[in-house]
Amino acid sequence: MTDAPAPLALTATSRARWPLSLVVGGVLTAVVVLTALIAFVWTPYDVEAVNIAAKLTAPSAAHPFGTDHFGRDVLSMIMVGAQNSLAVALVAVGIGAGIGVPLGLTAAARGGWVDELVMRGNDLIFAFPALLLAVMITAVFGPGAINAIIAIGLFNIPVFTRVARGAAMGLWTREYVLAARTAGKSKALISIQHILPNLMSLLVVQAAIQFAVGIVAEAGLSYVGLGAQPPMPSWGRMLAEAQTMIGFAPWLAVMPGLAIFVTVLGLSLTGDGLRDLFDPRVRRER
Amino acid sequence: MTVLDIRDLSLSIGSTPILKTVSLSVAPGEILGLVGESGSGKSMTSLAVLGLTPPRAAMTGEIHLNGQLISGASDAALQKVRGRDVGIIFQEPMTALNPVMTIGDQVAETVRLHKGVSRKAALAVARAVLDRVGLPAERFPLTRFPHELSGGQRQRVAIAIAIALTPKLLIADEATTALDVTTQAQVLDLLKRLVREDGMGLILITHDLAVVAETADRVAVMKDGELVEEGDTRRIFTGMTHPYSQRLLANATHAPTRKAAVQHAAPPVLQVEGLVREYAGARRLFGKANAFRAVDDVSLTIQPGESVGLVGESGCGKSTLLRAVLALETPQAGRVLVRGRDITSAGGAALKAIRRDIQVVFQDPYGSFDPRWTVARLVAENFHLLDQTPSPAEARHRVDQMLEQVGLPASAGDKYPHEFSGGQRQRIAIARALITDPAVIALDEAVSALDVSIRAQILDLLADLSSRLGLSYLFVTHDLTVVRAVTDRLLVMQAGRIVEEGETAAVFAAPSHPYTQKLLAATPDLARNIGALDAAHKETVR
Repeated sequence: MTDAPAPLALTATSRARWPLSLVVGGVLTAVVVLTALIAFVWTPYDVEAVNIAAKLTAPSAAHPFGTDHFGRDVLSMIMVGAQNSLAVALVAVGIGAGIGVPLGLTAAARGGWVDELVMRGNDLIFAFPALLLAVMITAVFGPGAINAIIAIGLFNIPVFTRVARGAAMGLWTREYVLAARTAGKSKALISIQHILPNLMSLLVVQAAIQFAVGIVAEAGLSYVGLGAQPPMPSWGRMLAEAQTMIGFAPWLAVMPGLAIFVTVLGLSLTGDGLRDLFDPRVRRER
Repeated sequence: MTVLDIRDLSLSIGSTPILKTVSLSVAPGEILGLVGESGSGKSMTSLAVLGLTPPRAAMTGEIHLNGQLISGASDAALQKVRGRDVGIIFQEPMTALNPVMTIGDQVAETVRLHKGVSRKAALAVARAVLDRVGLPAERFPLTRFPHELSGGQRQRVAIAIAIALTPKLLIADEATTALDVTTQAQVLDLLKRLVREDGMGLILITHDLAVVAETADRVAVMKDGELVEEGDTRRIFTGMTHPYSQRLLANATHAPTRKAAVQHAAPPVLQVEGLVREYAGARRLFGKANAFRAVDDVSLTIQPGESVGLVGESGCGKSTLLRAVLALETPQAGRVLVRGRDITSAGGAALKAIRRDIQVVFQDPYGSFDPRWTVARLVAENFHLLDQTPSPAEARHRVDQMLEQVGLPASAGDKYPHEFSGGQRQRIAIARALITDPAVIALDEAVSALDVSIRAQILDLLADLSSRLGLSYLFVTHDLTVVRAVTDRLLVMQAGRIVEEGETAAVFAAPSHPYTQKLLAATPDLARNIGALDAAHKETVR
């Protein structure tokens, strides 16, 4: 530390020092998101173009990630698959947060039987193995990306409800909330104006973590054939199809596996990093 | 021979000096009162003695304990000193103990760490020490957990841990500040007895001059990391020489000039009639739950321009009563009339109209504002109570005017609460309460967290506002000194009931209820203590 008497400058520099996990996670996530976006306008090859002559070629200059048993370019499939994975996870987190957070806020604001009802309903969903629930939904309504989204979104709801309710309960006893009540504001208005903004950092962290969980869940559903249907490429299904060929074409399993690994790692690190950034206690220890 | 000798201790963190050439000493069996306002460096001095200064702190000077130089000693060496030669008691009895360990084990732990004796022997020592601090075996077996004890009892356990190894020096850092006055008096008596019996040196760190006047042998006054005055307690309190200590003493006994005329003939602004607030207790397996009556049939009235004090110890129900009066909780029985309208049964627009007339200022200047809102937005929050909310420009104009009325610059509106000091925040809270032009303001321990000089300023502001605007106040507090200075009438609450009510001066002069008498006797009274010091001095001279 220098002896320049500039407290403002000091806080500015300590602010600028972002957690390493956030930087690394952010870069990884950005790469995946960028790949998915590029795939909308350009991929090296058409993902639906079958080229039996070039089937099962190992990674090369022409096909950096190799080709599959139909001669399709693996890199192109992974690029388009990223769209699918991200879209499913994003919408699922949106459903989870969009329903879960208001439920949690309501439970905390109202208390009593409303709280009981919401939390016991949550327990019900929590008690069900998440993947089993997803399998059940897709089994009843048929496989497909939309039903996968609904299934993953559904088991995201209780996660957000719990986080929002727990933190909101603490905020309701704060004096500034009491002051807002003496200002005649309704519980709903206080929830929106005072409670939600003060929960935001917590929810953003949770969203990043659930996003990562959603990617894995989508891959899992696709693996058992309940996610996006062919010819739409999907990382989970690519893994499933690679299973029988892993002996002589390992890149077919390694590449989508790596894609999932990088995405989940990126999102998890982002979540950890955001928590460090928001939590002043962790920040001071660094 | 001194127990502790601090010579020219200076300490800085980064470029900020925290302590400036502080020199202090404590003799065996002596109680040194270390007083000063927050940020004066009194706690840092004690942490330096224990070698517990923050990692980046740079320290110069010498600290001798029992004639042995301990400043600059290694952490391992200091660990041996802590607990064995120096004991410390902190302010908060709730967090000082480990909640999942029995009190016996917690006391025994210190003994085992330093003496290396068996668990059984250590527990025997623990038993003896707990007996000494007034926790006898029949009522407080070693197997008790902290949550089974009251705040005062926990503080006794903390003292037991600190004195288990009969240290030469005991440091009590605001150790009685969080306790009720009657408990505080008992704990201070205990400390005095232990010092006398063991010949320990005691450093009593506090902001409360009255406590120091009745307990300490010598007093040291600190300001901004410097020792400004030091001497015999009687000499300090009867003939302070440093302007800062003089100001501190004046602020501690400050009584604002109050010009507000109480309108006895006018209809009351606040009437509470037979208020009852019950909480459902733990439900038993069979039968009904035990209800706990926090507020039991309470009635009170406040006239326009009148200041009424509501005092009582923690758990007496005064906070619950306040929340019911503010319609933050629904009472089981009774009415609360604000200028004749019942707030407990009103709803919607009617409730809003009543709320305009009764507002509140809370204790914690740090917790009572949403950290994400600007001051202007916070103060304007109560415009929500008006039938027609003013336009943004109009609202801002009125907020700026109000901020100036409470002694803040209008530019304060654009800042966030964390940019202000505790006293300034209380001014913001008062501005927020005043913006709808209420008739009554409830003050929930509103000056309890403030330093004496800031407290004096806020009390002056409140007195000034009351005389200018004809405001009535309901002071809810545990601090009898404040109530005495600023209220016309006093209500004493115990176990949910008002046990005594009367003119403030009359109650202080001749309390009739035994509880009030006990409360007044336990309250440290600066004037009384200084008088006692003088009398004792004359006695010895003669």
